[in-house]
Amino acid sequence: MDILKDFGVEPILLIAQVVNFVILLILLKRFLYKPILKVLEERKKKIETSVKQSEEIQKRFEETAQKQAEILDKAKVESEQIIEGAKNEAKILADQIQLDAANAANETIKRTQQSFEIEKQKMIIEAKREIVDIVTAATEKVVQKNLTKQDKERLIKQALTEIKE
Amino acid sequence: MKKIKTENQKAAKKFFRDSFTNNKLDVRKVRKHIQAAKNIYKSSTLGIIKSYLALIKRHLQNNTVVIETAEKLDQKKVATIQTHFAKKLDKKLEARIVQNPNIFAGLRITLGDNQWDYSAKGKLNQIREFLHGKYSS
Repeated sequence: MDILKDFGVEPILLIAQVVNFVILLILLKRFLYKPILKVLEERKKKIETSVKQSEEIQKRFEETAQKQAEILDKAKVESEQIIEGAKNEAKILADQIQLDAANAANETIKRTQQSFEIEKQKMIIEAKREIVDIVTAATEKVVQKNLTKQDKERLIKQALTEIKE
Repeated sequence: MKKIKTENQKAAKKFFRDSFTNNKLDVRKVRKHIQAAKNIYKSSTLGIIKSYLALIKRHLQNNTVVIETAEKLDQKKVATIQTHFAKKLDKKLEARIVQNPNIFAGLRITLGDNQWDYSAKGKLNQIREFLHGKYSS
């Protein structure tokens, strides 16, 4: 105690100060620390919620990005398939058109040949008819010129025989 | 118009029926009917006479055997032909000779719408038709 007094410390004042400090500490704890801690706790919770939300958003974003990538990949594959299909169809169509054109050309050639053949046959027949006409006309002239009176008599007799038959 | 035509034909047929004497066409009656047509049916004279003459022409064609020859034909042969066709058709026929050098030789006989061709020209035509038929296919 004497030592304390030697250093100028009054025990009663020290006790009073301690009591004051405790009271102050209680008061501070009650009216200042608690609200501050509460506010801090709320902010901490808010931050945690925000972090969680941001993580959730990030996760969703990643999922969306992944889905988008998948959709894009799928669309790419489908578009490639469609392009490939269209190419194949175009090739088939082109082949068909080429085949049809070739068939049409062959048909036209065939018809033209047939037409030529018919025309040729007609001309041959016409020529034969003309030859027959010329030959018979010539024969008529020869017959007319060379028929004697006896021949004519004979032909009349023959005609009468044919009539009687 | 149709009625007038029918009436003309009726009158022409009546004249035609009355134009025969002993089943033979009587020229006097024909002349008389033509005169009658002129006097009675003044407005339709032409139509009646046309129909009447057409009937007479048809009758003559069906009852006259037309014999075409290149040379003159003696009466015996004409009679043979006339008798043959009269017997064949069972009716009396008149004969008319037509000289036609274009048939060259032989005979061509026409009776109504029928024709029998025994001429050289006919034979040549048959040959030509045969050859045409042969070379047309």
